[in-house]
Amino acid sequence: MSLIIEQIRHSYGPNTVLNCIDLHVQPGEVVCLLGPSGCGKTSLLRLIAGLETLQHGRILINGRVVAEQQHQLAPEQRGIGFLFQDFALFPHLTVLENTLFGLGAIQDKTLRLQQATTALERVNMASFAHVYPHKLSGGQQQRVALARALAPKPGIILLDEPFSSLDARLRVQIRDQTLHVLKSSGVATVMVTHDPEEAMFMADRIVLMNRGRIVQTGSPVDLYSRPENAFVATFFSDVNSITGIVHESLVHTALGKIVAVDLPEGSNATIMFRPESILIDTGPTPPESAVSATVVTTRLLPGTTLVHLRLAPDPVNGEPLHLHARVPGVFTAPEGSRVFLRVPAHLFYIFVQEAERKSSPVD
Amino acid sequence: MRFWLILVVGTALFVAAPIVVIMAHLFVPSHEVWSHLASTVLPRYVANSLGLMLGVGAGTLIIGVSSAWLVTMTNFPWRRFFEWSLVIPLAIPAYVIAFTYTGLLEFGGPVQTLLREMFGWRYATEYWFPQIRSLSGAIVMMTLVFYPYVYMLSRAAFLEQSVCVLDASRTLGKGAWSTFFQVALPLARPAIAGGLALALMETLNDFGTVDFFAVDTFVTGIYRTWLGMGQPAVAAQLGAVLMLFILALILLERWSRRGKVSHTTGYYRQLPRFQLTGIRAGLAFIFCLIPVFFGFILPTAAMVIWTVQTWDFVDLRYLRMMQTSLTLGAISAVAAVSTAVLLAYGRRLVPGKITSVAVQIASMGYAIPGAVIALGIMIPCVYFDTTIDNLARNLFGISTGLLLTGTWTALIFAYVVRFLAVSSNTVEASLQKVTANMDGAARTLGLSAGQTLRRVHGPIMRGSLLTAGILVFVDVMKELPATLMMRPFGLNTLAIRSYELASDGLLKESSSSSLAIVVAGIIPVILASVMIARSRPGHGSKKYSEQ
Repeated sequence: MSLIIEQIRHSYGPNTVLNCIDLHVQPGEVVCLLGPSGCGKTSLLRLIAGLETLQHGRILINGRVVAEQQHQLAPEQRGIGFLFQDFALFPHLTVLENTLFGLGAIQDKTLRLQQATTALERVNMASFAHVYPHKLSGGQQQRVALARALAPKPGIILLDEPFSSLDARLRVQIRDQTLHVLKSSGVATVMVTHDPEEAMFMADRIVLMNRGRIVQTGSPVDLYSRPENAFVATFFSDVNSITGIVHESLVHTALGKIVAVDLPEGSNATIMFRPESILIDTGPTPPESAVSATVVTTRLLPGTTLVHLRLAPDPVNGEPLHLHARVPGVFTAPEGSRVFLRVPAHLFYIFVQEAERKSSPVD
Repeated sequence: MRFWLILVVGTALFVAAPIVVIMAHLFVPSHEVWSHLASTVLPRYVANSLGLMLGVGAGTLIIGVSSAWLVTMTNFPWRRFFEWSLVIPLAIPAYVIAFTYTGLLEFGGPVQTLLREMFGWRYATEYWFPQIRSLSGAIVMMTLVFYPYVYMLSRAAFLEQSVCVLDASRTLGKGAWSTFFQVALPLARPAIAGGLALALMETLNDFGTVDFFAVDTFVTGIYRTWLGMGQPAVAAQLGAVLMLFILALILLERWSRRGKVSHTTGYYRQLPRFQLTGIRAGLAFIFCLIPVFFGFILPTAAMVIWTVQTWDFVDLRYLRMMQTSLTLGAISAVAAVSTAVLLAYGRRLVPGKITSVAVQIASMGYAIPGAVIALGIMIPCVYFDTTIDNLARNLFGISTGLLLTGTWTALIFAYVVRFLAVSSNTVEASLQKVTANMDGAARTLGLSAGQTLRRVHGPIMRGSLLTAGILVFVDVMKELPATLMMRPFGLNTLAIRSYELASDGLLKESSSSSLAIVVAGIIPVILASVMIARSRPGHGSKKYSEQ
């Protein structure tokens, strides 16, 4: 089933929490609504489910209008699964009874039981069928909630921060299982999260939101490697940021001359690049277009090493430049040693620096 | 949503109608009787009412909260006994305990007789003895029977608290006492405020005790103005002024309930109790024994003895009155709890000013004296009956007589109006156990709002609903003034009989009726206590068995 959202606007009193929201979700697609807390992503999810009354715009499921200003279908008539942040399992019902809850439409009792059991088996919780929710661990509760939401075979499932109440290690494990369950059931999924890594892990497509608006939509690769503005670039990882003034389509920086073709002459440019874009050379002779730097300190992290580097003073503000680089594996150069570094030109993200709002688009 | 909005507002308006009738009398031009009242007795009514509230408020808070904490969080000899027995004085109406203590402490009673025999006194002038029929006497009587409201609600709140929160406090360096004052008490504050509000409203509503003790309060004034002076409009005006008074109390309670915490589904474990030993255990034991002994054991023992002494008063008429009392209580309990659920759920479905104001107005009845509610119902009922009767006579030439006035329906309606708040407080509190996301889960799983109420809220709230029903039941059993005013012809309840005999000075003879009210009240009170203990997740019952 597909989901189409057109021109949604939503406010709580004077606060507009959603504005100009358009979104299409294809059957079987996993879309993540990503953004900092308070960006309106959960409100959007509740509007889709019908848990909140739509104020402006339209929502269509499978081509059928489920909500517009004059006419709104109740949540129970929309055929949507919802997985809540706190799971919202019914404490007075067993795992099986929870899973059976949404299957009332099936008349045949055996069939109903079979469908619930299948849903539980899919999340490996069938052996807990007669246990009450309070006896389950957080991860188990999450799986039961997922089974309960999927049991009625909804065309669309909405997930509201489904992993946030789990501890870090469990979260990785559970989200992997969840992704497989979602993909194998072919359900169209909209998931809300504030964690970019989680979004990149789960999503076919990420919708990055900020202050009630969609900032950029695209595949994880798109958003990560072709951010449209500084907000998108900084949201996904720690970035290095340097500034400079555009002169004849070039910016003079501590890293050398950087080409900035589309930027107006004389504007302040912010140049961003990710830590892993920095190539470090420890050899005695500098490669072409490399600049020298001092290793301040190094920290080994899982899989990579974070290297703190100090460059010669920045030409604009005159302060010594501090950069973070990520290199695979263990980095051997000792603290205080001299290295050469360069960044491939296509890995720079160049934005016009705006005085008031850092996160506004370049174009 | 619109359906629920109309339902909530409609129900609330209907329940609030008698109150509105009385309130409207604020705008009726004042009678000369009124100005006479205002210049003579009104200041005394106000002073006595305030004094009662202050005394009973302090007394119920100290006894209720401390005993709740002791039996919930500590361990000492006979703790399990006190857990349920501390609730029991609730079964005794204030006027019954007043009759009993008067019987015990008056000049001819056993206490003074014994003192005279011991010391050889003969006349009252030879020694000093506290006058039970006084303001302070009334405060003590009401504290003894109203503290269980504070006890029950704060105990339920202590039980609901996640131990992790208390443990967190201990690990942050707070001792048992600091934990109590800085964590447990603030967390339980909304519940304590709820219990205190109930106790104070009961205090303001009391008619039997203050009437018998000749402590003039608003209520006795209203009663006398209506029945003694035959001035229902002036009585209604007095009632309206009292309501403004009470409004302030309600606002205060709502204010202290702000920031009501809903406990996260979180982690519950067996409550670890502080084991008390030696002197401390003894003090805890005595502290809990005092209210139980003076609030229940002593007066009940007296009533039992006097009932035996006046056994010929227990006859067939007596049994029939008991049946009437039980039936009235049961019907009213079901009606009041259903209404409370409807209002609370509707308010949750349609959040906003309108529903929240509607629910608050509907709950106001509890603060209104039974006599005033009776007046607020009688005035429109009489009007309705006369109109219909005239209409029928003009059109068909037949008289329809009294359709509403003096019927069971009108009386039960009066009980619902009066006791809706009792069930509402409990129902609203227990509705918090169902998180908003559970609502959402049920709806997205295909249930309508009504089905969700039946299949999710109902079972989860079952224990609390029973508690709410029992509270209403007990209150109806004990209710005196409204029943006295509104009863259908020939209907007698135990409460009426007890009051009538005591007023005639037949204190011993009244105790068989009083005792029956107390006995009937005990069983549901114990049930309620058990229910509270079971309602705690991970405690007691099979479904939520130990982790």
